[in-house]
Amino acid sequence: MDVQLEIKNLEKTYDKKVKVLKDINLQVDKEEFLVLVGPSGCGKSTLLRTIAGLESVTDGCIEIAGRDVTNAPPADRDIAMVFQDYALYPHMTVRENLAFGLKMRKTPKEQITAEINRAAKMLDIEHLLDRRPAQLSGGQRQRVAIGRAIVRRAKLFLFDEPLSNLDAKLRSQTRIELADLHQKIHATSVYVTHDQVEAMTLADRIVVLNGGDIQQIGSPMELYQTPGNKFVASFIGSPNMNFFDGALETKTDGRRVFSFAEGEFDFTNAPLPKNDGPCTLGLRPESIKVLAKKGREAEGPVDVKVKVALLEPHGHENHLVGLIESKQVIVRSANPHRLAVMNSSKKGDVLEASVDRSALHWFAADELGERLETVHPTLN
Amino acid sequence: MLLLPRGFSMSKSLSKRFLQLSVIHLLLTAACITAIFPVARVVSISFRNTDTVATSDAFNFPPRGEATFGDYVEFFSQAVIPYELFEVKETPDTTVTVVEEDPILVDPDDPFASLDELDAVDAPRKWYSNYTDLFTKHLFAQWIYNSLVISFSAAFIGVFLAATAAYAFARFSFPGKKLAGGFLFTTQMIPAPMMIIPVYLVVKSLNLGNTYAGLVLAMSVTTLPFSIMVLKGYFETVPKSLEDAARVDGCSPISAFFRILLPLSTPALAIAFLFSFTSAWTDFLLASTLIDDVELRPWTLGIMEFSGNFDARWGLFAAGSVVIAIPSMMLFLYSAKYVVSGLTLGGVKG
Ligand SMILES: Nc1ncnc2c1ncn2[C@@H]1O[C@H](COP(=O)(O)OP(=O)(O)OP(=O)(O)O)[C@@H](O)[C@H]1O
Ligand SMILES: [Mg+2]
Repeated sequence: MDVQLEIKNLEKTYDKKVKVLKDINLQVDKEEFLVLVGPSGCGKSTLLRTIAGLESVTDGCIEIAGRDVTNAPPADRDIAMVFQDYALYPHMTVRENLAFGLKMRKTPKEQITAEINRAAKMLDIEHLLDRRPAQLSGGQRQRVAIGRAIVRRAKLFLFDEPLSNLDAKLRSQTRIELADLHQKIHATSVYVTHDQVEAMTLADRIVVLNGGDIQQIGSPMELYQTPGNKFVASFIGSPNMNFFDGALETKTDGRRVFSFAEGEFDFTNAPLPKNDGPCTLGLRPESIKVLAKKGREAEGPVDVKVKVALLEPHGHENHLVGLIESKQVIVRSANPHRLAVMNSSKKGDVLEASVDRSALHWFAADELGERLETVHPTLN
Repeated sequence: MLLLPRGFSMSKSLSKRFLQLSVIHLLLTAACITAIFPVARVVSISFRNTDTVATSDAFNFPPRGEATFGDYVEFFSQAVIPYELFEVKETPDTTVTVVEEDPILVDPDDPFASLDELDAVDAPRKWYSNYTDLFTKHLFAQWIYNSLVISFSAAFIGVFLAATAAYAFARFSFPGKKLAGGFLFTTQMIPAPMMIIPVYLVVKSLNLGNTYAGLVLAMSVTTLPFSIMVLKGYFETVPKSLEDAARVDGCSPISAFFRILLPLSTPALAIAFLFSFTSAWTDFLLASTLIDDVELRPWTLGIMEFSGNFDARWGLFAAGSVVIAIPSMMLFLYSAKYVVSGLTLGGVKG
């Protein structure tokens, strides 16, 4: 696969003191859809803007399609960008907005018309071509902004939170359309969002940024199933992962037990880090399974008793905020039998739950919280 | 029966309201008269013969002793309505014989030839004679042309310089930016007459004395600080992402400025333009310092010819003033639509 965008040792410092990006290394393959996620202020927009050439680079280099563009102006990078606030030119009609980039590149007239028609058809904005941006709804402006990017057939498409100004329904609809669009035109894209649903559903690969550092790069499922550190684990997945700070120890009878302030788990037959000692256990909300009265859902050891604090029914699934002693945990389930148990419980009831041993996440107890390798006891 | 007190109080409050309204309207009417009277007076004078203006007792007001209401009405109507135009002339103008002048007296190279001509030829007066005289017996058309050329050039150059400077102030950070901004602002505090001599020296040293160019240069520069302020304030309200989008679309920073930012700033540009234009159009001080030739005079200088100490031709003066008001009024009406257009609306998420 060709590499379409390559970023090497990129650093960006604002005003000679605020270090916003630290040693970013990244490769984007041709036709790949790469999503940048991270908390607010972590430097996502800055990274995107340096790729676009709208922000200068303090150190490192950027190559687009094999050409070093580190110091090239945006116009020479053959990129297209969709901005968070759309940035449509208010004094031009939709048609002129779409044509602007092509005109600036001296594209022949017939080709401009053809491209506009193609994009307008694809985005279903044909009837809006003669309007001005002020006469469009938010969703329509959004489409025009995307249209302005795709008429260009640029080498690289950059999106900076393009859906964040839409309401929830329109957002999920546009998300699907974006995915669809990507399947059609196979544009190499870098997409910034802080919405992890967008990240998970659109991305071929996700880059998790925090404080100007790349935390992990991987496919959505990789990040979900094997988060590289505590930050990624807490950032990916909704509701958030439950973390237990504690220590692993091997009892005299050979049992391996994880104990934390509010209780302990007996994990004798589970894949565990090799060494005992302080560590952090991460449990996804769906890995804490409320036990039903009968059937397959009643099986499993009773690892923990959860006191119901709050139940959030979502229809297809329930989120239960519970307490293990004083520690708050979130439990999620979509299984009808477990739902039945949850639904019939009241605040203050105590439910028995089992921990899914195949989905334990272990992290070092230090600040970075790197993922710990586990070994399966039977392999020993 | 219960309704009566309420109705009563209502009528009381109604009459109170009526009183209030009457007072307000009275005050407003007075203000309107004060505002309109000078204009009406000038228009009326512009139709009068210079002699009738000069001898009118309109200048002896208020009348000595007790004045009746009728006196006031008479005064105002006399002042505003040129009655004599409607009077049937007892001695028709046909009796006036046109004195044949010796053509040698009119020297075509003499800048004051027009004045001599006026003295010499006493054509029959019509009600609009002042207006025709302006153009036939004086260089008035030339003066207006001068003023138009100077004012438009000064306004265009001034706005262009201001826009580029304001762009730098609004979008870039550079050392001394605060200082420069403050300095620009303080130059506004220096009274214009104090700058006349330095400006004169600068223009002279550039060898631009007594030329359009010198005057245009001086004028376009004097309104810069104000225009920069206005434009900078406006540029700052235009989202930066529009220029970013333009740059990604293939513009250089300069073409993004001309193709995106400037077209979006028409309200501020119009205000800066109008301000520069009017201050150049009405300028007297700079022109009187920098211009010597009659042919190069703007109307502000030219019109002073009619108000000499011994030979004040108020009719011509007034007619000139009326003519001069027309272009600036047209310009204001035309640009009104640019000043009030919310063109930036809707481009970015609102
Ligand atoms: N022009 C600037 N000068 C100085 N600091 C800046 C500038 N632009 C951004 N920053 C800082 O850089 C950091 C990263 O900003 P950036 O806009 O990239 O964040 P982000 O990840 O896009 O956040 P969000 O999700 O809120 O959009 C922030 O701490 C911000 O304060
Ligand atoms: Mg951002």
